[in-house]
Amino acid sequence: MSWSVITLIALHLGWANGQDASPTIAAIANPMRPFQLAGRAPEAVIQETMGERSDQVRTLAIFRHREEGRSGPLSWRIRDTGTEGHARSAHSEDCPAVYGLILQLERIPLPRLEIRPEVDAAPANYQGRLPDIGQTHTSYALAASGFTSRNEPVFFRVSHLGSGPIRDWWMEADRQLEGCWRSEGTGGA
Amino acid sequence: MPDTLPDIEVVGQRRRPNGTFPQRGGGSGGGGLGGEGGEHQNEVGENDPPPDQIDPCASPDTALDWNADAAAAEGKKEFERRGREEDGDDGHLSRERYAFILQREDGSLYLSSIATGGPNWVNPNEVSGQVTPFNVVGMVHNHPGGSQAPSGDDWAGFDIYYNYVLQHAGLERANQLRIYIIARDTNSTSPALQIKAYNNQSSRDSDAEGDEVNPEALPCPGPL
Repeated sequence: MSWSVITLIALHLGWANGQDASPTIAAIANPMRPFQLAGRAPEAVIQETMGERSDQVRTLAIFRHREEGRSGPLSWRIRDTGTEGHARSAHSEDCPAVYGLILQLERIPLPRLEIRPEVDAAPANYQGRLPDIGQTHTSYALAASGFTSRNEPVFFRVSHLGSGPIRDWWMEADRQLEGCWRSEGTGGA
Repeated sequence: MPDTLPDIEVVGQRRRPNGTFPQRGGGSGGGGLGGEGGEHQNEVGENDPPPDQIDPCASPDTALDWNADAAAAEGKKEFERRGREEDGDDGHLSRERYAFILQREDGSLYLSSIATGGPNWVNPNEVSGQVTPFNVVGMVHNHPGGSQAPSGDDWAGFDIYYNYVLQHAGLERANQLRIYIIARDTNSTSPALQIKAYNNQSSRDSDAEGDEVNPEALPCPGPL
Protein backbone atom coordinates (compact mmCIF):
# COMPACT_ATOMS: atom_id res chain seq x y z
CA MET A 1 0.00 0.00 0.00
CA SER A 2 1.63 3.20 -1.12
CA TRP A 3 1.49 6.18 1.21
CA SER A 4 0.51 8.53 -1.54
CA VAL A 5 -2.79 6.89 -2.41
CA ILE A 6 -4.06 7.71 1.04
CA THR A 7 -5.38 11.18 0.56
CA LEU A 8 -6.53 11.74 4.09
CA ILE A 9 -5.97 10.10 7.39
CA ALA A 10 -7.13 11.95 10.42
CA LEU A 11 -7.55 11.11 14.05
CA HIS A 12 -10.35 13.09 15.61
CA LEU A 13 -10.30 15.37 12.57
CA GLY A 14 -12.87 16.13 9.92
CA TRP A 15 -12.92 16.40 6.15
CA ALA A 16 -10.98 19.24 4.62
CA ASN A 17 -12.87 22.41 3.88
CA GLY A 18 -10.87 23.99 1.09
CA GLN A 19 -13.13 27.04 0.84
CA ASP A 20 -11.97 28.68 4.04
CA ALA A 21 -9.06 31.08 4.25
CA SER A 22 -7.98 29.13 7.32
CA PRO A 23 -9.30 25.68 6.51
CA THR A 24 -10.15 23.39 9.35
CA ILE A 25 -10.33 19.67 8.94
CA ALA A 26 -12.33 19.34 12.13
CA ALA A 27 -15.38 20.89 10.49
CA ILE A 28 -17.64 17.94 11.15
CA ALA A 29 -17.59 16.66 14.71
CA ASN A 30 -19.20 13.32 13.92
CA PRO A 31 -19.26 12.16 10.29
CA MET A 32 -21.64 9.32 11.13
CA ARG A 33 -24.57 11.53 12.18
CA PRO A 34 -25.80 12.34 8.65
CA PHE A 35 -26.33 8.63 8.07
CA GLN A 36 -28.43 7.91 11.15
CA LEU A 37 -31.43 5.65 10.96
CA ALA A 38 -34.39 5.85 13.35
CA GLY A 39 -32.46 8.35 15.41
CA ARG A 40 -29.34 6.23 15.75
CA ALA A 41 -26.04 6.94 14.11
CA PRO A 42 -24.20 4.05 12.47
CA GLU A 43 -21.06 2.58 13.97
CA ALA A 44 -19.17 3.01 10.72
CA VAL A 45 -19.75 4.38 7.24
CA ILE A 46 -18.01 3.23 4.08
CA GLN A 47 -18.54 5.06 0.81
CA GLU A 48 -17.77 4.45 -2.83
CA THR A 49 -17.82 7.38 -5.25
CA MET A 50 -17.69 6.79 -9.00
CA GLY A 51 -18.30 8.53 -12.31
CA GLU A 52 -16.75 11.22 -14.46
CA ARG A 53 -18.73 13.74 -12.44
CA SER A 54 -18.31 11.90 -9.11
CA ASP A 55 -22.09 11.61 -9.04
CA GLN A 56 -22.48 7.90 -8.32
CA VAL A 57 -22.25 7.54 -4.55
CA ARG A 58 -23.03 4.34 -2.72
CA THR A 59 -22.92 4.12 1.06
CA LEU A 60 -22.69 1.13 3.36
CA ALA A 61 -23.53 2.00 6.96
CA ILE A 62 -23.04 -0.47 9.79
CA PHE A 63 -25.65 -0.44 12.57
CA ARG A 64 -25.78 -2.24 15.88
CA HIS A 65 -29.25 -3.24 17.01
CA ARG A 66 -30.73 -4.51 20.27
CA GLU A 67 -34.43 -4.45 20.97
CA GLU A 68 -35.47 -2.29 23.91
CA GLY A 69 -35.72 -4.15 27.18
CA ARG A 70 -34.00 -7.23 25.95
CA SER A 71 -30.65 -8.46 27.07
CA GLY A 72 -30.17 -10.90 24.23
CA PRO A 73 -27.34 -10.86 21.78
CA LEU A 74 -26.78 -7.91 19.56
CA SER A 75 -27.63 -8.04 15.93
CA TRP A 76 -25.87 -6.19 13.18
CA ARG A 77 -27.05 -4.66 9.97
CA ILE A 78 -25.24 -3.31 6.92
CA ARG A 79 -27.44 -0.79 5.16
CA ASP A 80 -26.77 -0.01 1.50
CA THR A 81 -27.99 3.25 -0.01
CA GLY A 82 -27.25 4.12 -3.61
CA THR A 83 -27.28 7.21 -5.72
CA GLU A 84 -30.97 6.90 -6.50
CA GLY A 85 -31.97 6.60 -2.86
CA HIS A 86 -32.90 2.93 -2.91
CA ALA A 87 -32.06 1.28 0.39
CA ARG A 88 -31.54 -2.33 1.29
CA SER A 89 -30.08 -4.09 4.28
CA ALA A 90 -28.28 -7.28 5.21
CA HIS A 91 -28.91 -8.60 8.73
CA SER A 92 -26.69 -10.75 10.87
CA GLU A 93 -29.67 -12.86 11.99
CA ASP A 94 -29.97 -14.51 8.62
CA CYS A 95 -26.64 -13.61 7.04
CA PRO A 96 -23.56 -14.72 9.00
CA ALA A 97 -21.33 -12.86 6.55
CA VAL A 98 -22.43 -9.54 8.08
CA TYR A 99 -20.58 -10.05 11.35
CA GLY A 100 -17.58 -11.52 9.58
CA LEU A 101 -17.33 -8.45 7.37
CA ILE A 102 -17.46 -6.17 10.40
CA LEU A 103 -14.52 -8.05 11.88
CA GLN A 104 -12.70 -7.77 8.57
CA LEU A 105 -13.30 -4.04 8.50
CA GLU A 106 -11.78 -3.68 11.97
CA ARG A 107 -8.75 -5.53 10.71
CA ILE A 108 -8.11 -3.78 7.40
CA PRO A 109 -4.45 -2.87 7.09
CA LEU A 110 -4.18 0.84 7.69
CA PRO A 111 -0.94 2.30 6.35
CA ARG A 112 1.39 4.23 8.57
CA LEU A 113 1.77 7.94 8.08
CA GLU A 114 4.48 9.23 5.78
CA ILE A 115 5.30 12.88 6.15
CA ARG A 116 8.80 12.78 4.69
CA PRO A 117 9.18 12.22 0.95
CA GLU A 118 10.42 8.71 0.27
CA VAL A 119 13.38 10.06 -1.68
CA ASP A 120 14.84 12.01 1.25
CA ALA A 121 17.26 9.25 2.22
CA ALA A 122 17.39 7.54 -1.16
CA PRO A 123 20.44 7.24 -3.41
CA ALA A 124 20.38 9.31 -6.57
CA ASN A 125 19.48 6.40 -8.83
CA TYR A 126 16.36 5.45 -6.86
CA GLN A 127 13.25 6.17 -8.90
CA GLY A 128 10.56 4.53 -6.82
CA ARG A 129 7.43 3.16 -8.39
CA LEU A 130 4.57 5.14 -9.86
CA PRO A 131 1.86 5.11 -7.17
CA ASP A 132 -1.04 2.79 -7.94
CA ILE A 133 -4.12 5.01 -8.02
CA GLY A 134 -6.38 2.17 -9.16
CA GLN A 135 -9.20 2.75 -11.58
CA THR A 136 -10.12 6.26 -12.63
CA HIS A 137 -13.11 8.20 -11.30
CA THR A 138 -13.28 5.98 -8.24
CA SER A 139 -12.63 6.67 -4.58
CA TYR A 140 -13.43 5.11 -1.25
CA ALA A 141 -13.85 6.58 2.21
CA LEU A 142 -14.27 5.15 5.67
CA ALA A 143 -15.47 6.87 8.83
CA ALA A 144 -15.44 5.00 12.11
CA SER A 145 -14.54 5.52 15.72
CA GLY A 146 -12.26 3.84 18.20
CA PHE A 147 -10.38 4.30 21.45
CA THR A 148 -6.75 4.64 22.37
CA SER A 149 -5.14 2.45 25.00
CA ARG A 150 -5.82 5.30 27.44
CA ASN A 151 -9.59 5.27 26.75
CA GLU A 152 -9.44 8.36 24.57
CA PRO A 153 -12.08 8.35 21.81
CA VAL A 154 -10.83 8.92 18.29
CA PHE A 155 -12.48 9.23 14.89
CA PHE A 156 -10.90 7.54 11.92
CA ARG A 157 -11.50 9.10 8.54
CA VAL A 158 -9.55 7.47 5.76
CA SER A 159 -9.98 7.83 2.03
CA HIS A 160 -8.14 6.68 -1.05
CA LEU A 161 -8.54 6.48 -4.78
CA GLY A 162 -9.47 3.38 -6.76
CA SER A 163 -6.95 1.05 -5.14
CA GLY A 164 -6.44 0.38 -1.46
CA PRO A 165 -7.68 -1.46 1.62
CA ILE A 166 -11.16 0.06 1.73
CA ARG A 167 -11.78 -0.95 -1.86
CA ASP A 168 -10.56 -4.48 -1.07
CA TRP A 169 -13.05 -4.69 1.81
CA TRP A 170 -15.79 -3.20 -0.37
CA MET A 171 -15.33 -5.78 -3.10
CA GLU A 172 -15.34 -8.56 -0.52
CA ALA A 173 -18.53 -7.16 1.05
CA ASP A 174 -20.21 -7.03 -2.36
CA ARG A 175 -19.30 -10.65 -2.94
CA GLN A 176 -20.24 -11.99 0.49
CA LEU A 177 -23.51 -10.08 0.83
CA GLU A 178 -24.91 -11.09 -2.52
CA GLY A 179 -28.08 -12.98 -1.69
CA CYS A 180 -28.29 -11.41 1.80
CA TRP A 181 -29.94 -8.15 0.84
CA ARG A 182 -33.49 -7.34 1.92
CA SER A 183 -35.31 -4.43 0.39
CA GLU A 184 -35.81 -1.65 2.88
CA GLY A 185 -39.17 -1.94 4.63
CA THR A 186 -39.47 -5.69 4.65
CA GLY A 187 -37.11 -6.15 7.56
CA GLY A 188 -37.84 -3.06 9.64
CA ALA A 189 -35.38 -0.67 11.15
CA MET B 1 8.07 21.77 -1.77
CA PRO B 2 8.39 25.41 -2.75
CA ASP B 3 5.60 27.77 -1.81
CA THR B 4 5.31 29.31 -5.25
CA LEU B 5 5.52 27.91 -8.73
CA PRO B 6 6.90 29.73 -11.72
CA ASP B 7 4.51 30.57 -14.52
CA ILE B 8 4.37 28.00 -17.25
CA GLU B 9 4.11 29.22 -20.80
CA VAL B 10 2.46 26.64 -22.96
CA VAL B 11 3.17 26.63 -26.68
CA GLY B 12 0.98 23.84 -27.88
CA GLN B 13 -1.31 23.05 -30.78
CA ARG B 14 -4.40 24.45 -29.10
CA ARG B 15 -7.21 26.89 -29.57
CA ARG B 16 -9.66 28.60 -27.29
CA PRO B 17 -13.40 28.73 -28.05
CA ASN B 18 -14.10 30.13 -31.53
CA GLY B 19 -10.38 30.28 -32.26
CA THR B 20 -8.31 28.36 -34.76
CA PHE B 21 -5.47 25.97 -34.26
CA PRO B 22 -1.99 27.46 -34.66
CA GLN B 23 0.26 26.25 -37.41
CA ARG B 24 3.98 25.96 -36.91
CA GLY B 25 5.27 29.49 -36.53
CA GLY B 26 2.02 30.67 -34.96
CA GLY B 27 3.40 30.68 -31.46
CA SER B 28 1.15 30.16 -28.46
CA GLY B 29 -2.46 30.99 -27.89
CA GLY B 30 -4.34 29.23 -30.59
CA GLY B 31 -6.88 31.90 -31.38
CA GLY B 32 -8.53 34.20 -28.93
CA LEU B 33 -11.53 34.59 -26.71
CA GLY B 34 -14.96 35.81 -27.74
CA GLY B 35 -14.96 38.16 -30.70
CA GLU B 36 -11.25 37.87 -31.17
CA GLY B 37 -11.54 34.24 -32.10
CA GLY B 38 -11.93 32.77 -35.50
CA GLU B 39 -8.99 34.44 -37.17
CA HIS B 40 -6.14 32.34 -38.34
CA GLN B 41 -2.92 33.26 -36.62
CA ASN B 42 -0.85 31.96 -39.42
CA GLU B 43 -1.89 30.76 -42.82
CA VAL B 44 1.56 29.62 -43.86
CA GLY B 45 1.07 25.97 -43.05
CA GLU B 46 4.62 25.13 -44.09
CA ASN B 47 7.37 23.88 -41.89
CA ASP B 48 9.32 27.09 -42.16
CA PRO B 49 7.93 29.76 -39.85
CA PRO B 50 7.86 33.43 -40.78
CA PRO B 51 10.96 35.19 -39.48
CA ASP B 52 9.04 37.32 -36.97
CA GLN B 53 7.26 34.41 -35.30
CA ILE B 54 8.37 31.76 -32.89
CA ASP B 55 8.97 28.33 -34.28
CA PRO B 56 7.73 25.97 -31.52
CA CYS B 57 10.06 23.30 -32.80
CA ALA B 58 13.16 25.48 -32.47
CA SER B 59 13.48 25.05 -28.71
CA PRO B 60 13.17 21.86 -26.66
CA ASP B 61 10.97 23.70 -24.15
CA THR B 62 8.34 24.78 -26.65
CA ALA B 63 8.71 21.64 -28.73
CA LEU B 64 7.69 19.58 -25.71
CA ASP B 65 4.28 21.25 -25.58
CA TRP B 66 3.94 20.97 -29.34
CA ASN B 67 4.88 17.31 -29.37
CA ALA B 68 2.84 16.40 -26.30
CA ASP B 69 -0.26 17.77 -27.99
CA ALA B 70 0.62 15.72 -31.06
CA ALA B 71 0.96 12.63 -28.86
CA ALA B 72 -2.48 13.30 -27.38
CA ALA B 73 -3.90 13.55 -30.90
CA GLU B 74 -2.23 10.27 -31.75
CA GLY B 75 -3.78 8.79 -28.61
CA LYS B 76 -7.24 9.93 -29.72
CA LYS B 77 -6.80 8.30 -33.09
CA GLU B 78 -5.59 5.07 -31.51
CA PHE B 79 -8.45 5.05 -28.99
CA GLU B 80 -10.89 5.52 -31.87
CA ARG B 81 -9.28 2.74 -33.89
CA ARG B 82 -9.48 0.34 -30.97
CA GLY B 83 -13.04 1.43 -30.22
CA ARG B 84 -14.04 0.59 -33.76
CA GLU B 85 -12.24 -2.74 -33.80
CA GLU B 86 -13.00 -3.96 -30.29
CA ASP B 87 -16.36 -2.42 -29.50
CA GLY B 88 -17.90 -1.46 -32.84
CA ASP B 89 -17.80 2.20 -31.81
CA ASP B 90 -18.70 4.67 -34.51
CA GLY B 91 -17.98 8.33 -33.79
CA HIS B 92 -17.92 7.81 -30.03
CA LEU B 93 -16.04 5.71 -27.50
CA SER B 94 -18.09 3.37 -25.33
CA ARG B 95 -15.23 2.37 -23.05
CA GLU B 96 -12.57 4.36 -21.27
CA ARG B 97 -8.96 4.03 -22.41
CA TYR B 98 -5.77 5.42 -20.91
CA ALA B 99 -2.16 5.94 -21.97
CA PHE B 100 0.88 7.73 -20.62
CA ILE B 101 2.88 10.11 -22.82
CA LEU B 102 6.56 9.28 -22.38
CA GLN B 103 9.77 10.92 -23.51
CA ARG B 104 12.78 9.21 -25.05
CA GLU B 105 16.33 10.31 -24.30
CA ASP B 106 16.47 12.15 -27.65
CA GLY B 107 13.49 14.22 -26.54
CA SER B 108 10.90 12.64 -28.82
CA LEU B 109 7.63 11.45 -27.33
CA TYR B 110 5.66 8.24 -27.60
CA LEU B 111 2.56 6.66 -26.15
CA SER B 112 2.72 3.85 -23.61
CA SER B 113 0.63 0.75 -24.06
CA ILE B 114 -3.07 1.53 -23.86
CA ALA B 115 -5.26 0.31 -21.00
CA THR B 116 -8.91 -0.42 -21.71
CA GLY B 117 -11.52 -0.28 -18.96
CA GLY B 118 -15.30 0.04 -18.77
CA PRO B 119 -17.87 2.74 -19.49
CA ASN B 120 -16.65 5.00 -16.69
CA TRP B 121 -13.32 3.67 -15.49
CA VAL B 122 -9.92 2.42 -16.58
CA ASN B 123 -6.89 1.33 -14.58
CA PRO B 124 -3.71 3.30 -15.45
CA ASN B 125 -1.62 0.89 -13.40
CA GLU B 126 -2.09 -1.73 -16.11
CA VAL B 127 0.16 0.26 -18.45
CA SER B 128 2.45 2.09 -16.01
CA GLY B 129 5.32 -0.37 -16.28
CA GLN B 130 7.41 1.89 -18.53
CA VAL B 131 6.75 5.04 -16.54
CA THR B 132 9.57 6.69 -14.60
CA PRO B 133 9.69 10.12 -12.96
CA PHE B 134 12.14 11.15 -15.67
CA ASN B 135 10.25 10.08 -18.75
CA VAL B 136 6.59 10.77 -18.01
CA VAL B 137 5.26 13.91 -19.68
CA GLY B 138 1.52 13.42 -19.43
CA MET B 139 -1.52 11.22 -19.40
CA VAL B 140 -4.36 10.93 -21.89
CA HIS B 141 -7.71 9.24 -21.35
CA ASN B 142 -11.25 9.52 -22.63
CA HIS B 143 -14.57 10.13 -20.89
CA PRO B 144 -17.36 8.13 -22.55
CA GLY B 145 -19.90 10.05 -20.48
CA GLY B 146 -18.97 13.31 -22.16
CA SER B 147 -17.40 15.25 -19.30
CA GLN B 148 -14.64 17.33 -20.87
CA ALA B 149 -12.91 18.26 -17.63
CA PRO B 150 -10.94 15.97 -15.32
CA SER B 151 -13.05 14.48 -12.56
CA GLY B 152 -12.23 15.20 -8.94
CA ASP B 153 -10.55 11.82 -8.74
CA ASP B 154 -8.65 12.56 -11.98
CA TRP B 155 -7.22 15.64 -10.28
CA ALA B 156 -6.42 13.67 -7.14
CA GLY B 157 -4.56 11.14 -9.28
CA PHE B 158 -2.79 13.94 -11.16
CA ASP B 159 -1.60 15.42 -7.87
CA ILE B 160 -0.23 12.04 -6.79
CA TYR B 161 1.66 11.65 -10.08
CA TYR B 162 2.82 15.29 -9.85
CA ASN B 163 4.26 14.72 -6.39
CA TYR B 164 5.91 11.50 -7.58
CA VAL B 165 7.69 13.37 -10.38
CA LEU B 166 8.42 16.35 -8.14
CA GLN B 167 10.08 14.23 -5.48
CA HIS B 168 12.23 12.24 -7.86
CA ALA B 169 12.89 14.54 -10.82
CA GLY B 170 12.30 18.04 -9.51
CA LEU B 171 9.95 20.96 -10.02
CA GLU B 172 10.75 21.66 -13.67
CA ARG B 173 9.94 18.13 -14.67
CA ALA B 174 6.80 18.05 -12.51
CA ASN B 175 5.51 21.24 -14.08
CA GLN B 176 5.74 19.61 -17.49
CA LEU B 177 3.12 17.06 -16.50
CA ARG B 178 -0.20 17.48 -18.25
CA ILE B 179 -3.47 15.62 -18.53
CA TYR B 180 -5.57 15.31 -21.69
CA ILE B 181 -9.26 14.44 -21.66
CA ILE B 182 -10.96 13.15 -24.81
CA ALA B 183 -14.73 13.55 -24.84
CA ARG B 184 -17.59 14.45 -27.11
CA ASP B 185 -18.45 18.12 -27.34
CA THR B 186 -21.70 18.18 -25.39
CA ASN B 187 -22.45 21.71 -26.57
CA SER B 188 -22.55 20.56 -30.15
CA THR B 189 -24.82 18.27 -32.11
CA SER B 190 -21.68 16.90 -33.71
CA PRO B 191 -20.50 13.56 -32.35
CA ALA B 192 -16.89 14.65 -32.85
CA LEU B 193 -14.55 13.93 -29.98
CA GLN B 194 -12.45 16.77 -28.67
CA ILE B 195 -9.18 16.79 -26.78
CA LYS B 196 -8.85 19.20 -23.86
CA ALA B 197 -5.54 19.94 -22.15
CA TYR B 198 -4.91 20.68 -18.47
CA ASN B 199 -1.88 21.08 -16.25
CA ASN B 200 -0.98 21.93 -12.67
CA GLN B 201 -2.05 25.52 -13.15
CA SER B 202 -5.46 24.74 -14.65
CA SER B 203 -8.60 25.56 -12.75
CA ARG B 204 -9.92 22.62 -10.77
CA ASP B 205 -13.46 23.88 -11.27
CA SER B 206 -15.46 21.08 -12.87
CA ASP B 207 -16.96 23.59 -15.33
CA ALA B 208 -13.59 25.01 -16.40
CA GLU B 209 -12.64 23.34 -19.66
CA GLY B 210 -9.10 23.43 -20.93
CA ASP B 211 -7.90 24.57 -24.31
CA GLU B 212 -8.82 22.33 -27.23
CA VAL B 213 -5.97 20.44 -28.83
CA ASN B 214 -5.83 20.06 -32.60
CA PRO B 215 -6.99 16.49 -33.29
CA GLU B 216 -4.75 16.48 -36.36
CA ALA B 217 -1.70 17.75 -34.45
CA LEU B 218 1.63 16.44 -35.70
CA PRO B 219 4.99 16.39 -33.89
CA CYS B 220 8.01 18.45 -34.82
CA PRO B 221 10.01 16.84 -37.61
CA GLY B 222 13.02 14.78 -36.61
CA PRO B 223 14.61 14.29 -33.17
CA LEU B 224 14.98 17.33 -30.94
